[in-house]
Amino acid sequence: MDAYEKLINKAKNESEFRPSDGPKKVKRAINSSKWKIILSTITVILLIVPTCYMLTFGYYAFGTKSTTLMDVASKTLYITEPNTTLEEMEFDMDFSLFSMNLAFEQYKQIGDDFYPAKHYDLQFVLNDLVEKNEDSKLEKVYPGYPTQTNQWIAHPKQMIEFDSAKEWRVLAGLPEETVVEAYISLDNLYRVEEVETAMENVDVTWAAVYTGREETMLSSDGDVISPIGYPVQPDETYWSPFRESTSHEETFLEMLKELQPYERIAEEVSPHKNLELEERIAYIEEQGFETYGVVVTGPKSEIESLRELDMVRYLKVGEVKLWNWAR
Amino acid sequence: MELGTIKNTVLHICGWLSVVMGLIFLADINLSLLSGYDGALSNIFSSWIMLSVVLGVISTFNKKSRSLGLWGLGLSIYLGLFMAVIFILGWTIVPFP
Repeated sequence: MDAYEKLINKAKNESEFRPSDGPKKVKRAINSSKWKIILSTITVILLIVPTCYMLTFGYYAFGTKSTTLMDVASKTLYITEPNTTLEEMEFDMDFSLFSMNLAFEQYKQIGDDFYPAKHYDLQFVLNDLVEKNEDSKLEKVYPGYPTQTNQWIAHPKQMIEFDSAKEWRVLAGLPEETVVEAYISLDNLYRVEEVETAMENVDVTWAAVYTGREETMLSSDGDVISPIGYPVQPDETYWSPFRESTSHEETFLEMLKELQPYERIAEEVSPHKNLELEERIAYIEEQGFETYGVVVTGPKSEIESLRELDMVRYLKVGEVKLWNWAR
Repeated sequence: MELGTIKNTVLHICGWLSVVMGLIFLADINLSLLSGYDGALSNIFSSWIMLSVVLGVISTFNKKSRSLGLWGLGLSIYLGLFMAVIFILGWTIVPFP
């Protein structure tokens, strides 16, 4: 036997005594595959939520923009809620899976100061308003669901449901040291400037605009419509659509046109249900701006003195606060 | 143990580490998105992801551990993309400071 054969035999003998590592390898491979399957399943599961978030953010950035929904909500309230304003920094936006939450505070001018009126909490799923919560801090809540005659501001040919004589008596009974918000219905259609001139000692805060349907408060289709109007006082709030507006009337008309493509959302946001923007925009563009009622605020005695004006038909007392009139 | 086996084992461990690190961060993101609170790892995002990328790249050098490395790298790229999308689009959709 030569040296080479000896070496081969030795190697063969060694390999016979070495325990085989085949089953160990197989076990390790099975283990590795098992973990790969477990971790790949976990990977797929964990990718779902972040991917949905990216899609949500993409939708609110490039689809129906979050800022558009916010604008629609704020503009709707400016034109449908008499004497209200919103604060930009009070807006709170939260995003969750395919939905957006929008919360903000609404204010009212009573006398010289602004007071919190309502807290809105709107929940959108994509661009659909699915939940609306309103937390009102008001003592007198404007009728939410309009009928033909339950409005606080009525057209000269329209009836009212409240007793205006009683409202005047309530106003007379208030202490002199109070400031009052009042809803005044006029005896005819006027230009807002005429009303402001006639009521120079109080602030005319909001004017209801005649859109051709307010005699009956019914649209041409027979649906009950809501009063719409615009804030009259200059508004320097950064967020306000009326900031630096040279003509509030034109800004109002522009807002109506901007809201028109989103009328469904606007009607969901607004406590007033039917806006019927198309026919009302057409009327305003053709006939111009005239008002049939305004919201005013000022010292109690000054509001009371408005009774002497021929143009004042009805009055409804709104919010009352302690004296803050520093003029 | 032979040098080749040691190399294989190390590269495999790197691959697994890269994948597990990516998954831990992904789980942390899920938790923060669903609970609404900041995740525990959000402050060390860049170093965590960098480490995961490096480990992933290392493990792609070997044919046997390449799939693990690519998996870890894919997770890291996804996490980077997620952070970028959320930051950029978040800045677009929330108009307040």
